[in-house]
Order: sequence, then structure tokens, then C-alpha cells
Amino acid sequence: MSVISDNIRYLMLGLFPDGPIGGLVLTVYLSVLIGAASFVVGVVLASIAFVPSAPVRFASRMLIHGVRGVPSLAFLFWVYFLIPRLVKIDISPLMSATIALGIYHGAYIAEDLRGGIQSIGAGQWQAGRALGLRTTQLLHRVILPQSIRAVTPTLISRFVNLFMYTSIVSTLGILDFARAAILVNNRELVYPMQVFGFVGLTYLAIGYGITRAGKRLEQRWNWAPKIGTRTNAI
Amino acid sequence: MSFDWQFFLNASVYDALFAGLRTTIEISLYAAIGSTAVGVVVGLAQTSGWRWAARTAEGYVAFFRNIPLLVQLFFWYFGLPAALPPAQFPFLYEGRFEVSVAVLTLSLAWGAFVGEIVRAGVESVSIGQADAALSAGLTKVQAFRYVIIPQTWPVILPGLTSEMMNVVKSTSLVMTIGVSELTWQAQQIESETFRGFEAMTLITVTYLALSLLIVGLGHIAERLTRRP
Repeated sequence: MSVISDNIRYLMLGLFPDGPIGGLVLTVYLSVLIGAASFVVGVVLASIAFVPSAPVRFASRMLIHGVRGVPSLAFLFWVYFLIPRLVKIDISPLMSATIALGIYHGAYIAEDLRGGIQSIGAGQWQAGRALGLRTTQLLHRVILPQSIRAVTPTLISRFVNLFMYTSIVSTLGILDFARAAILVNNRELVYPMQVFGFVGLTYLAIGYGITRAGKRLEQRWNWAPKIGTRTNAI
Repeated sequence: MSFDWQFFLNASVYDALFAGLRTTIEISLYAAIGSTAVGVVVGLAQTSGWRWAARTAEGYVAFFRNIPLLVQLFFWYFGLPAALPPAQFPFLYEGRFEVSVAVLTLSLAWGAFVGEIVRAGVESVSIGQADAALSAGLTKVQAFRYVIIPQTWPVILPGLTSEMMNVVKSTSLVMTIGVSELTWQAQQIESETFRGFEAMTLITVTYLALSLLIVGLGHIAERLTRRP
């Protein structure tokens, strides 16, 4: 196990303090960033279903279906090459990875939320309308809070997935936890089982931790209706 | 840089594309068969009623679902030659080793997901159905064959369809261990022509077409297994 303890600093922090931070810390940071971005994208895309304009609704449905039919890796590269065309400034791989994965997982979250919105009874809509709420108010105050609670289990497994699949940013040369493992393995050469075993188990432990924390959250909200769907995104 | 339409008239681009597509389809097919086989075993073990088998299968699912596929790929790709040295096990490394690793990893990882779907399918059939079949004089195997399995299809097939889409999509990750599949070829095209956006657009459309094909096959399967 000395191969792990010799390289633990590199695996956890990357080149920090001599260079940009990397390793597990970067993976966690990216997950939080992408998690927040994808949640916002998901809520927006799910809400667009209630926009009166049909072309806008259609465009949003197409985006959701299109994104879900494409590998996250292909989508990541696609956005990576697209952004320099749209804006004339240089954008870091980290930034474009955050944007790409934010949209990618956002499309999945939008679809999860759609299921949650459908599970809300018509009575809630009617009651809101009777109170004179506008559609945006109704969504914001009544429908979305209930839908999000209804699909909490799905959202949690989505976030675990999102955390795991931040590892694909290593293909853009970003020094995250997975890439740190690859580089350590290339340097040490004879301990691949130990290096990738350690990294795999660390991912497993954190993913399991998120699941447990999510279960606690669910229990606190357990008055809400539940939709037991199991999900995953690649 | 404007969008280069000439790019799509270039024959050598399509040569690379089809070479990659063939590998992607090949790996997808083997991994689909492999993960279904693993999934059926894992799913039935979880619903078998044997406690040790159910526990083992649960552990398997938790393990393979919570480790990134990329890390699993690297683990087998670098770990297998370290654990079973090529000098002693030459037959393991004949042919395209990276393709075998890709199929193995995808089968093991997606088998965990398929297992959950099979479990959900079997659990959706009420126990009364099994009791009724057995008391009608069917053997256990017959009860499974003629009563339980036909009723699991409506639950299993939609989930299986989306899982097979995930299998195809995840084949893009195996480029990281050097398999020359679709995404790898797109990277090659990019490095030769500097037309990354066009190359990625091309393979993105190809993946979409593959996904649609699987959705279509899923619908056909659902229609075929619909009970009168």
C-alpha cells in the first residue's frame, strides 16, 4: 500500500500548491458546481413545458431528447468544440466541461422532474388557480416544491451518478481524481490493482455517503408522495 | 471559423466513421448480451429466496453501480495483466485485448443495472400467481416458464431498452483504453483535419440514430410480448 501513501497528496490535491488544484478535491468541487448548474437547467427545462409558445416547448423537448440520446463523452467534446465558435474568447477545458455536463445532466433532471410534476394531483393546480396565482407563481410556490420532494430518491441517484461521471473530464486533460490515478499508474507501472482499486473504492465510499445523506433527507420529507424510479446517466 | 459543409463530402471521413461504427456496434452487441446474462443471474439471485445468494447479488449491484465506468475500465485494463501475467496466460492476450476488456467491463457494470430491472420485473408479479400455478399442477420450471416470465415483460422491457441505450452510449468511454470506436475515430479526424466541431456533430448524429434504433427495437419487442 506504500504506492498509495507515497502518492496520496497528488491523488487528493493534484499539483497544488505548485499548480492548480486537482485530484479528489477538484472532483468534489466539479461535482458541486455541475450539480448546482444541472439542477437549475433541469428546473428551467421542466418549467418550459408550461410556456404558452408551442415552438419554445418543442425546442425544449428536442433538447432534452437529443441530449439523452447522446453519450456524455460525445456531448462533452461537442460543447468543447462548439464554445470557441460561439464566443471569441478562450475558455478553459474546466469551464466548458462544467457547461457541457451541467446541460447534459440537466436534461435528465428535467425528465425526472416531469415525472414528479405529473404525480401532483389536478387539485393542486385548481386550488392554485382558484387563489388567483399566475402560472409562474403556481409553479414556484406550489407545484415544483412538491414535485422535487416527490422525486428526491431519483434526484439523489442522479447526483451520485453525476459525481461518478465527472471522471470523464479527465479525457479533456483536466487533472481530476481519475486522471491523477492514471498518471500515478503510468509513473509507478507495477501497482495498477492497488491504484485503481483505491480510487474505485474512494468513489464508492463517497457515492455511498451521498446515498445515505439523501436517505436522511428523504425521511425528513417522508410525508411527500414517492415515485420509486431508478435512474442512471451516461 | 465557420461551419465547414465541405467536410461532410469527404470520403475518407466516412471511411473512418464506418470503421468506428463497426467497432462500436460490435462492442455494444457483445456487451448487451453479456450484461443481460449477468443481469438475469443477479436479478434472479436477488429474488431467489436464498439469503446468501440475495446478499451476494445485492453487494454486487452496490459495488458495480457506484464505481465510475472509467475507473473500472482502467482497473481491468491495467490490473488484469498485473494479476494474470501474459507470460503465463498468453491465451488471454491474443487478439484485441482492449476490445475484450471493454466487453468484459461493460458486461459486468451494466449487468448490475440490468439485474435491478430483472428483480423489479419478478417482484412485480404477485406471489398468488406462483401459488396458483403450482396448485394447478405445474412444476416449478413450468410455472416460471408459462406463468411468471410472460408477466414480467411489461415491466422489464422498457427498463431494458433504456439500459441498452446506456450500454451503447457508454461504449464511447472505451476510447480511453485505446479501442478505435466511434468517438476515438472522431478524435482522429479532429487531429487530422482540425475540424473538431464537424467531426463531433457527425458522430453525435450517429449516436442519436443508434439510440433511436434501440428505442424502435424496444417497441417491437414490447409489441411481440404483449398478451392478448
